[in-house]
Amino acid sequence: MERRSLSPDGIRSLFVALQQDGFRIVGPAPVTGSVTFAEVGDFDELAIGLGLEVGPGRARVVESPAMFGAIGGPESLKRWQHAPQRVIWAGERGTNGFTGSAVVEESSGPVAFFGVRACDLAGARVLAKAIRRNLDERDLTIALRCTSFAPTCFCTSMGTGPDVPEGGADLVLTEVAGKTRMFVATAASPRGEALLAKAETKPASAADVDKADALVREVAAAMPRAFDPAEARSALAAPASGWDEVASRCMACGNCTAVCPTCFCVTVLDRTDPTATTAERIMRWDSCFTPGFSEMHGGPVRSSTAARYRQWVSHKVSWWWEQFGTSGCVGCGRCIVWCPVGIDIREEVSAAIERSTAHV
Amino acid sequence: MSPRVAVFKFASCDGCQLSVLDAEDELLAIVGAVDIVEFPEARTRREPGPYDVGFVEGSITTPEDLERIKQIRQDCKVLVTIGACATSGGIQALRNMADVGGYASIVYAHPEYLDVLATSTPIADHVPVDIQLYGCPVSKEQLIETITAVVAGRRPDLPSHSVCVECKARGTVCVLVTGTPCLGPVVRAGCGAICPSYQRGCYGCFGPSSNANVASLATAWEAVGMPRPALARALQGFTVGAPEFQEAIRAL
Ligand code: SF4
Ligand code: SF4
Repeated sequence: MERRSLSPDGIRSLFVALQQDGFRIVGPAPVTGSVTFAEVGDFDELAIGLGLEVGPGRARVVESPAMFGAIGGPESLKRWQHAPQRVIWAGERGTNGFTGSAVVEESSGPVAFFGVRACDLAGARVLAKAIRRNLDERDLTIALRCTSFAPTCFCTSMGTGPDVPEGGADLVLTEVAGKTRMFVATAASPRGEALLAKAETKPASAADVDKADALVREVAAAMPRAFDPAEARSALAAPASGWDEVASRCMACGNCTAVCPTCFCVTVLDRTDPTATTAERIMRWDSCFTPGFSEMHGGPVRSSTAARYRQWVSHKVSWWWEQFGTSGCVGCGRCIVWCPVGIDIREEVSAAIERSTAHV
Repeated sequence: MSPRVAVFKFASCDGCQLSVLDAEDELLAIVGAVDIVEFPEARTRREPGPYDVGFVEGSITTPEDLERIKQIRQDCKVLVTIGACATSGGIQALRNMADVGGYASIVYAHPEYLDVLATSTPIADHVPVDIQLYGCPVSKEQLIETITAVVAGRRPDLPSHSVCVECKARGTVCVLVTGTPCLGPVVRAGCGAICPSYQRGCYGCFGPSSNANVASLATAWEAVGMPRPALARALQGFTVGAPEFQEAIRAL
């Protein structure tokens, strides 16, 4: 498909076109303490010229030479795909007994996800499989290929980035850093093409296209390898010991699962009114790190933090394959950044692989 | 017949009973569903037990308390403790690490009139408790949730996981990872993660979460410039008496 180039004003015109088409827009925005995906009502609410300096257990907002430079903020698309809490059933006690029915979520309009990265899109695809619900088909994805990466990124190891795969988004942008900010755009679906036609664009020069592709290739080449997903899958398939050291650092706080774009586990509970005449059934994010998560009669099946950490990481990189035909980890690095004690999944998986090979 | 409910007070500031009163709108509905027969903070009419549900605020600090709580336990089918004092001894449990006689002689002209125990202890140290509502003060939402659950005969939703779960659900950016000391990872949820939503660290009002790992949190505090003694001091708040925090304070 033909590649077009957009100036920052062109990006603004793209945004305005989305608004005119009636989309709610989710994009990288400054939120208190970070830059992350949030719903924005105006182009100027986007985090323009801001980046994030991240590391294990640490994040600081910084200035960025790129127009959209932040990588590693806590929000993925999960909040919009899989709400933290929703009512799934409601019932009422009447004179003729109890009646109830499923509560269907009302859509609050199509969403345009703007500036999403390859790992975000991969996360959304993996989550969609797990919760058996795709993004709304009216939603639109405007991807941003990565021309830089954070020290917590490992998409190349997981095969999810930095390039956006064919069919992975409706429109793909690449920011070509230079004296003046400029973007190369490729429409990747008919809807993306229609959107691009409404924005102020120019044909992209061959040199700009080459530069854009080269920047993404450089990121792919420079990103350090974390672990081999196939090795991780087999090494973590069988129950094994060796989790006590990480459990001495893990606080079982659940931050990692909350920020993970694919962690989908929920709990279901009932609410009643004071007179016990109406009831609601609520579905709410849960985490394999909470005591309630594995509670059966008598207590939690996994009471130790070691058992919970092992459960989480083994499910992510190994059992997920059995369940959903893919890795549950997409290499976005959010769990590393937002773990308050900086536990690094790359190190823990590598250590587990080492332990498993040491045993044979 | 509506369940008979009683509210009792031990060593405490009355803040949790005020939380009960603060649930005014909801309470109107509750008053229809339950019969509050004993609540000295709110009404002069008092009725003797037995009661279906008894809420207990405050900690055990006197020899007399020791006897009174036993009688209350006998009088109540379901016993619910409310607040940091009742569940962990409250701020007055600071005395557990000091000499209460020393304090008394500083504060009172005639300390010999006092008859107090050397420690301030939670209700559950003395009698079996059915439901514990944590917090300083207790959360209005959790109170209502507990009452409606008892009325409906279901289990109340009172998670023992960390405050972090609530931060993430409401979309608050972690203050600890972004540079502010916070106790949240080792503190029980229930408040709705209020303080971090105002860019303040959690103060620990709800006491330790299950699997609280204070030793590890100390490294995260050091990373934001707070040495171990600072964390030990931060733990000496409303839930200082919780065994997990006592142990951590000694180790830090
Ligand atoms: S790995 Fe980190 S974020 Fe996850 S539960 Fe443990 S301490 Fe919390
Ligand atoms: S702000 Fe505090 S309570 Fe909230 S996620 Fe961070 S460490 Fe946990």
